[in-house]
Amino acid sequence: MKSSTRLDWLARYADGSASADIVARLEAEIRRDPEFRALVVEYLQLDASLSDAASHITPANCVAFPARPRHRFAAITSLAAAVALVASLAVWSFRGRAEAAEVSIEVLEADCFPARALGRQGLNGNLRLDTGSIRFRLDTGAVVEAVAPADFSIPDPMRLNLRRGNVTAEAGQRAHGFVIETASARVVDQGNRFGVAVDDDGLTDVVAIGGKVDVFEPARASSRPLASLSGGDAIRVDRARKAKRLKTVSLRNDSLVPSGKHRSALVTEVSDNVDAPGFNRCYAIVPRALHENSRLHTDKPSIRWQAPEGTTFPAALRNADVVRTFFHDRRNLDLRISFELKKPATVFIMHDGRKPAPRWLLENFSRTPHTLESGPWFRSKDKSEYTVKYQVWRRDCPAGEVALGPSQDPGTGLRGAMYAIAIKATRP
Amino acid sequence: MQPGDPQDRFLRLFTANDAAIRAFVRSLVPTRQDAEDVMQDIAVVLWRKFSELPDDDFRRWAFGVARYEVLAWRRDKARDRHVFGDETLDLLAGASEQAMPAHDARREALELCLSKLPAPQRELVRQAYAPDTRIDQLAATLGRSAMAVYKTLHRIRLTLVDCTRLQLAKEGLR
Repeated sequence: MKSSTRLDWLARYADGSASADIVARLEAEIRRDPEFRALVVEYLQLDASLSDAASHITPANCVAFPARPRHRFAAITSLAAAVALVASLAVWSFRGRAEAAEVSIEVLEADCFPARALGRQGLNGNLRLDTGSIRFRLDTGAVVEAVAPADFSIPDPMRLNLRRGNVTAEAGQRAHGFVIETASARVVDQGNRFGVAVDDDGLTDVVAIGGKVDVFEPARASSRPLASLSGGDAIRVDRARKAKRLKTVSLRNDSLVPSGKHRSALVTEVSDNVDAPGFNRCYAIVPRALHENSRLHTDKPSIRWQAPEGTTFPAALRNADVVRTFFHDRRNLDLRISFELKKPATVFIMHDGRKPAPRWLLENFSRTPHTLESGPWFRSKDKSEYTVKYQVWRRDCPAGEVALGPSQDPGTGLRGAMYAIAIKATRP
Repeated sequence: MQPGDPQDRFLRLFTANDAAIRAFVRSLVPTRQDAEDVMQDIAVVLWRKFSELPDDDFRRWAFGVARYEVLAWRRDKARDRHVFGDETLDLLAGASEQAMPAHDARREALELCLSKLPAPQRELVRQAYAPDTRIDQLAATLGRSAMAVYKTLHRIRLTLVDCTRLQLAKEGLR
C-alpha cells in the first residue's frame, strides 16, 4: 500500500468527501497498521486544533476585506447556552460591532494572498496592506494601486484617506476630481494619473505622473491651492503644510513605490541645479524599466523607446534602471544633473543623434554602436510617425556621485531633444 | 454565578479541557461539523453529570463521556457507510487517549509551526478554518476549484504534522 494513497483517503475522509468504498479501505488500513492509526489520530486532532489556532492568526491584510465578526469562544458560548438551558441561567452576551458604510471595489490585481481573489468586493473600513500590492477600480471608474506597507480607507467612491504608504490613482474622465487626502494635504485630480505617499514622519509626497493635480491644505479645498502640478511635477508637503519641490521619486512602471526592494539597487538621489519659484519638475528612478515601449521623460508620457527599424532593442541596454529626465530641460544650457551610484555601474546616455554631443559627454563618455529611437512626436499627413534618433554613450563609473551637463553646448541651436539616462550594473 | 459554585467550577474545568475533548472527538468522527454536533451533546451531558465526577481528573472523565456519546452518535448512523465501525472507533479512541498527554504541548507547537508557514498558506488556513466557512465558496473567491483547495489544505496539514512532531522531538516529548 502506497503511503500517499492512504493519505489521500485520509484527506478525503477528513473533508467529508470520501466514498463509502474509500472509507472502508481506510478503515482496513487503520485496523491493520498501528503506526498509520496513530498518524490518523494526529492528523484529525490537528484538524480540530487548527479551528482554534487559526483564529489567532493575524490576517495577512494583503487584501483585508472585512470579515464577518468572529467569535473565538464559540464553543464556550455553545456550552453556556446548554448550561443555561439545563440550569435556567442566563450567561453571556456579545456587544454588536458598528459597521461603516460599504464601498464597492473591483479588485483587478493582487500579488499576494488571495492572489486570485479578483472581482467585486465590499469594503467597509480601513484597508491595511502589510505585504504585496493591490490594484482595484471604484464604481466611479477611478483605478487605485497601493503597495505595502499602506494604510488607508475609502469613505466614498470619490475619496481615499491615506494614513501611511504609497497610493497611485488614475481617475479617468468619470472620476475627475477624485481626492486623496492625508493629514497634511488634500490632493485633487485634475487630469489623469498621480501618486501620493505618506511616510512615518507624516510627510506627504505628491507626484503628477500623467496629468494635473491640485494640492490643497486639508479641508480647505476651496482656497487657493498650495501647488498646481503638471505631469512630471512632484512636491513634498510637511506637517506644517509647507510645500517644496521633490526632486526624486521612485516608480515601478508608473506607480509610486515605497523604499526597500522595489527601488533601484544602483541609483539614488537625483538632483539638479535648478531653483526657481514654482519649478516642481521631478526625476523618476524606475528599476529595470528600459525596454521597447518604455518612457523616457517624466513630462512626456506618450513618448516611448523603440529600436530603429530593422534592428532589435540592444541587449546591453535592456532592463537597465532608468532615470527619467524631463523633456523641457533641453533648453537649459546651464543644467547640471547629478545622482548617486550605490555601487559601480555603467551609465548610458541616450543623446539626440541630430545634434552635436556636448563637451561633457564627449570628454567623459564613449560612443557605442547602439542607437535608439523615441516617438511618436507627431504624425504626418500620411500617418507616418516622426521619431528622434539617439546615439547611445556609455561610461563605467565607480560608486559615488555622477554629474552630467546640459543636452547641448551653447551656440548649437535649441531644437534638440533632452537626453535620457539609464544605468546597469557593471559586469565583473 | 459565584466563584466556587458548581457551575463556575464546571465552566472553568470545561474551558480548560474543551480543546482536548474536541480533538479527542474529532479523531473519531469524519468531519469537523460532526465533531461540533457531538460536542454539543457532550457539553450538556457533562454538565448534567458533573455532580458524579468521580475524582478531580476532569479530562479523563470527559473522555469517557465523549467516547460514549460518539458511540451513541455512531448508532444513529448505523446504516451510514461513511462512518467507521465500533471496533475501529475503539482502536482510534485508544490511540487518541494515548496521544493526549502531549496534546497541550502539541497545540503550542502548532502555533509555532503556523507562524513558520509561508504567508499565503497561513492566510488560507485562517480563512478555511474561520467559523462558517464553506470551502466551495472560499474556492470560488480564490478562483480555484474546491478540490484544489482541499488538496492544498491537506498538504498544509501534513506539513504541520511533521513540524509539530519535530518541535515535540526537540522538547523531548516524542
